[in-house]
Amino acid sequence: MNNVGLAFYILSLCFYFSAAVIFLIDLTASEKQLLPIARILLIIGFITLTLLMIGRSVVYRYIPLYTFHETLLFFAWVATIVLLVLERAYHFRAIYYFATPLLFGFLFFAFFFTPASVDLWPELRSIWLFAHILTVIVAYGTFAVAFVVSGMYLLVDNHLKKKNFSSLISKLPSLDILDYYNYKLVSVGFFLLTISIFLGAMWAQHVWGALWRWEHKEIWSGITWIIYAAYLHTRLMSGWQGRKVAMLNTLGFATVLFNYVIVRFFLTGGLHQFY
Amino acid sequence: MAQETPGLPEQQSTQASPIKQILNFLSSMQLGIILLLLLAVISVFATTQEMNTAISSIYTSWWFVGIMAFTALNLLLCTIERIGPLTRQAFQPKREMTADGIKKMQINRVIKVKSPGDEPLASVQQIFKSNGLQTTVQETSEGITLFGERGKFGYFGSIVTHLSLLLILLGAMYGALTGYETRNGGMSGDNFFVTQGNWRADIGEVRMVFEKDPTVRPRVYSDVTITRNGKVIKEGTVSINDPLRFEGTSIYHSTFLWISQVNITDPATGTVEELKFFEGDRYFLQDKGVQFESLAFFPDFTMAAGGRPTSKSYNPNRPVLAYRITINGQQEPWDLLELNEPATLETPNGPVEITLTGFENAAVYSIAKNLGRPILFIGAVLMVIGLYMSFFLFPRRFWATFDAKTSSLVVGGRGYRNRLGVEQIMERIESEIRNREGE
Repeated sequence: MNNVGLAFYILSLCFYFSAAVIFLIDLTASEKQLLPIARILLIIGFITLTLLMIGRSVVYRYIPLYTFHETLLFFAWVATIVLLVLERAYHFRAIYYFATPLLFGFLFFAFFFTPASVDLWPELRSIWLFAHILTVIVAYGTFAVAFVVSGMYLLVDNHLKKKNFSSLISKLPSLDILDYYNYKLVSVGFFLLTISIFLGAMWAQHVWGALWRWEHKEIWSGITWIIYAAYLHTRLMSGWQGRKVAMLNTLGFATVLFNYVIVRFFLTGGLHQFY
Repeated sequence: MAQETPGLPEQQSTQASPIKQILNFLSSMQLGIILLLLLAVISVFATTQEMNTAISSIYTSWWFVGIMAFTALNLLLCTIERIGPLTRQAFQPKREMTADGIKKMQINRVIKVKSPGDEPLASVQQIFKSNGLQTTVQETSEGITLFGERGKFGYFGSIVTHLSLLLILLGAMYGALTGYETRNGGMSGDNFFVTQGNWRADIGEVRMVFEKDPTVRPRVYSDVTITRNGKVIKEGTVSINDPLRFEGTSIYHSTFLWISQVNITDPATGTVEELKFFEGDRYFLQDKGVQFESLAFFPDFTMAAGGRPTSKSYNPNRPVLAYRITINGQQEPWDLLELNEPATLETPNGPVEITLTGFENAAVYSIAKNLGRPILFIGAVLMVIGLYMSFFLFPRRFWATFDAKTSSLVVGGRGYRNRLGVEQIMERIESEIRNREGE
């Protein structure tokens, strides 16, 4: 499996990288129409990544969500699905330009972590834990795409403020639409993050008898939840829109990354030491 | 006689009583956001501290609990304040609307129609229904208004979410006040008493079941009998993911420990002491002036690179105990004791023989009583429902009437916090009307 798995991983990387580069060329070169080609490359990369994860599931006999390497692959996989759904439901193709390089970045980041399988401790073999990890990674993937949309919002806003109506801006949706997509994505991510926190608490209660143990990972999940709750409250109740909420969303994603990477490697310990 | 000078009408209407002002402040969203962000900032700081220090000096401090209490109060007042207006908004919509009123809406369309009168409105009614709207027809002196709405329960999403948060806080407080958390355990034949619950646990057999892969932590099953005043109240087996529950109390298997059985023999007298050691246990041999310390037990001993003892697996293929002795306060280098292979220690008062004769396991339990759990569970389910209502049941309302002056259909729509969503539906409705008109 190791060599075959590595081959599929490298293939996925290559397809995502090519797609990212061609999307960026399409974005900056107004006369070229390369988006359909880049999109096909991205879909092939996505299929390769799907096969890689199916292969890992079959060989290792668990859904590959338990090591850091596996969660990064799944993160990129989920975020790609979010992009495809956005295109299908809202014809939001411009998201590919900025999101694909980020997804490639996540896939590439996985290279630095061992792809070896993990022997699951008995207490880790729980449907609650599986559902907890699944929902949190889907939430993070959704937040990642929301972060990209916020970046796009800030980019368009800056260009418009400077009265710079370049071809780049013409390829991106209006500020209102970007703001709306941002809200939709954050609300889906927030919904899933909430479910994930509850599932994690129920699992911990079931296995260790404590719903909440004040661990770093739990605290940072709570902080992330609070920041996105503040985003939604300010947007829905105080009428905040546009630039201010886009920046708040960026802060929210910074906490997601902090929790996902920094807490994992620098504040390890407790029950979350594996993820 | 001086006349009382009344204030200006504006002043009279805006000056609220001090109590009202305080209530307004306590129920304000600004305060809620500030408190939430304050909790976030404190938590960020707390994660820079050692976990146990943070728990004792921050998370359980009066001021942190106070901020949480204020947050709960803010949520409660905010919820109470909003229930009335939201109920009216949800269940008492304005169903009649004139053409001019509809045209004033942010989202509206004026569509010329060929046939005047009720026929186009009947067509719009069908279109409303096909878009999932519940429709009613209102007849007034000014004409007929078609009203369609969907997702009215979405108005209550924030209320349900706030209530669920309150329930979660309440459940956590009730659980903390009425429950307890402790750790205990032992090996086969041991017992322990839990004073908080006034019950005793007797540990029966402790058995280990190995996984196919011996490097994976094995499952440990332990039989436990719970008694109070000599009367059995619960019996059962405790294992990972399968706690023993009674009276709102749960006994969870937390981990297991190795126990080494060691015989210490004095060759001079032939006396044998049979002892059991947990890792880290010490035993002082009074007459020899020597302290024996059990350092670590390795069920499948091997020597790793750098001369570090380790275990290849959990299978007891080669049980070895690492130990150290201290003579007159002077620590000797650590040494290893293999199963049934005696080692002789030279002490100032003569030799002593030590033998690892066997080993067994002890189960460690987390014991928790949390009566707030059902409340927390209901709160969690309610929160998921509340968030679903908030984000995915978006209330939308549409009105349509026939404007005889211009022979046009006037259609308008309003949404609750989702203008673009209403705009999308309006585009669909408009396109369907134009299709039917043959445009």
